Amino acid sequence: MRITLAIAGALGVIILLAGEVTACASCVSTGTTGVHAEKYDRLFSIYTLIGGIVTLVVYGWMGWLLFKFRAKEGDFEPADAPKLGEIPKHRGDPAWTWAVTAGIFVILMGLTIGTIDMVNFYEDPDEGMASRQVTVKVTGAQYFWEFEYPSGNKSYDTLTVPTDTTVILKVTSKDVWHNFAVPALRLKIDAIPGDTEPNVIWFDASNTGEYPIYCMELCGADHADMKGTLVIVEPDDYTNLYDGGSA
Amino acid sequence: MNTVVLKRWLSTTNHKDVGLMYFFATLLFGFIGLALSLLIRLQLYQPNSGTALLDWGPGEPGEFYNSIVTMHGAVMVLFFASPLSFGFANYMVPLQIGAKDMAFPRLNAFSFWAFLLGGLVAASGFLLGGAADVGWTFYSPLTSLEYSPGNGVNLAGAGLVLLVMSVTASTINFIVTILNHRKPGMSLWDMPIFTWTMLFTVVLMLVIFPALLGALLMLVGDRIFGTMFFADSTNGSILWGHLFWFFGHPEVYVVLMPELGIVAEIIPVFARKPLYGKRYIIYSLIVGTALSVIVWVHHMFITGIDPLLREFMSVTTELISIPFGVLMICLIATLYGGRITFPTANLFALGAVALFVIGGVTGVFLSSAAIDYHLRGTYYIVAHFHYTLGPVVLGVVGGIYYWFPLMFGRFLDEKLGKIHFWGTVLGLLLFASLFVLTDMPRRVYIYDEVTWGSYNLVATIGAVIAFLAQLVFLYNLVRSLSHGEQAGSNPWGASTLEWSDSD
Repeated sequence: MRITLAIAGALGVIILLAGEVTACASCVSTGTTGVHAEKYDRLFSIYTLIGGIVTLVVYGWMGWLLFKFRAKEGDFEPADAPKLGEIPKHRGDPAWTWAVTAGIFVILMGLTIGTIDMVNFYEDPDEGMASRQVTVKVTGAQYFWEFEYPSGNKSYDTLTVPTDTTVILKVTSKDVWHNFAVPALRLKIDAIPGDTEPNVIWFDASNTGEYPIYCMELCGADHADMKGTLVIVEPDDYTNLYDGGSA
Repeated sequence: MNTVVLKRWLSTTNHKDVGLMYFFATLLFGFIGLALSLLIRLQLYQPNSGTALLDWGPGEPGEFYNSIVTMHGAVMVLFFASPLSFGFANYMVPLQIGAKDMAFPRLNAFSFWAFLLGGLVAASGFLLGGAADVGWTFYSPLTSLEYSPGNGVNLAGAGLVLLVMSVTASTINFIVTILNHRKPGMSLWDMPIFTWTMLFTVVLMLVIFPALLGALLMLVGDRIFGTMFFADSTNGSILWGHLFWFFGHPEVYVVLMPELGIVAEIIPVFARKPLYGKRYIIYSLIVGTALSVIVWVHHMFITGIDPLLREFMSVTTELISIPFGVLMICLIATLYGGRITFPTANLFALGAVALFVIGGVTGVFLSSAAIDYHLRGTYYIVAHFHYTLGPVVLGVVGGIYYWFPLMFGRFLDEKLGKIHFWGTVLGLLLFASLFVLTDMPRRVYIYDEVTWGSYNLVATIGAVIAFLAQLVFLYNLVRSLSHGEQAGSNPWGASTLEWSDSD
């Protein structure tokens, strides 16, 4: 009985850890592009590594306690075992508890520094490496995306941008709350109706390619169908399509 | 059922009776929520699965699916996990502190009936042309008359208002009972840990539920009386977001804390050692309760709010891991020097602690505003909160195995209990495959990305296994009520006073 218990426990731990490790950033099956994805994947790996170590240590310790102090034939009850109607004696070492608190605090604050650094990067389009900037207005609606380019031309569900460009998106909504998400860029932003200011995100379009766009906030019956495509093309192709006269 | 029995249960104000009614009513809601979850997982088991499963429901397939998702979330959190703990609290808290009954027994009965009516009203939408299909978060303006013309949102709103009435009455009742009705000589520090966690739970509820009530009344005003709180074209959506999440985030601690109390009752009994660091646990709960009301913006990191507020709430969210981390460590440290036995009740309690570690660690990822840019709204989130609420349910179900002999005089069957436990845990472990889907949107009823298929399939297999395990549990429960092994007084050798209760 106890052996099956131990085996089952060990199996559980292995499955869990395997699950956590495979939840790596490189598993984003819908593609990877841009400097945000690079930074994100690095930060995510750090979190995964530290989270994995913490999980392993806790599980190892808990497993050891369960094994070592399992009830065995001929064991005596511990002297301070619960007795009906008696208030159990206080048990615990403040020094030890403070050490755990401090340990968790240090780990978390270390992670926070990485986070704040990255949030500042997200905030500032001038961090982009590209030589020029293009601003596109993005408007969500049930159930499509509308993109308005600097020239005034519009496209629907397909956002086309040129390479070597920092693309700034000003995102809002026409009807209900949507969320503009491009997993390949590791970016998303809420598209909120009635906002006095549109929400802004930016990304560097580095290589050509096509990546899916999703709506990631429940927006109604056809939420599942509210999908689009981000197309990154050579600058010449972009100019012909959207920068010049008619689209 | 004859009329005498019926009249007795309809008119009872005894805290144990009310506790038992909560127990059975929440199990009913739990099985409704479970059936809905199975529908969700069957719909998503493969890419392009069609709409055959959804066509029989009211409205378009997408609407029906959304109402299933909405009601699964609302029922499981608000009408199952949290009130099941309240059932135990009704039964155990007065006994644990040596009170004769709750301070206001009739108010207590009122709480139960308002709760039951609330749940039934909210769920009745399924029979009345479509339940609420806007997500349990009820984001505005999708909830407005313009975008949700049906009755579903009205019914859910009415159900939730009834729930808030129930909760408000309950919180006052518990606070007065715990503070004023302890037996002579029992100081606050002497109270068993479950009573402690209930005290923090109800205090927190008293702080947050008014925000939900206010938001709901404004929503009802918009929908029925033509007011313009959220329908206003400027920032109405953000207003809803703040009001809802000021309630919605602490609500998870409202669900969590009683479960921690139950687990902290169970583990010492089966480890035969006193709870490690009870005082540190209580300090942690104080800090955790306080912090829990200043973290809600982590649900709104990408709404374009002030970056300073975002960084502040990012830090508070990471800080809240500390008290709950200390608490988990104390629970595990209790095992040290013990003589541990593993009946089903203890398996559930230990399983709850072990799996909650995963929920906690994956939650730290989400506290990072930067990482949230990618993970928000994806199946990673779904996996994460099923690894927090899943263990919570494990812990509360551990409470069922633990207190069943007290409530019904009989044991639940151990062999069936172990099948139930391992089936549930295996199901939850397979659900971990969803952590990988950091690019799959939540709340979609259909997807065509082939690469997402296998992970969804694994999760669906997990859901089916967990569902079958709950059927074993249901059989065990029904059978043990009349045929379970007779339990003597205090069969587990606990120290708390509910076990000295003689009738």
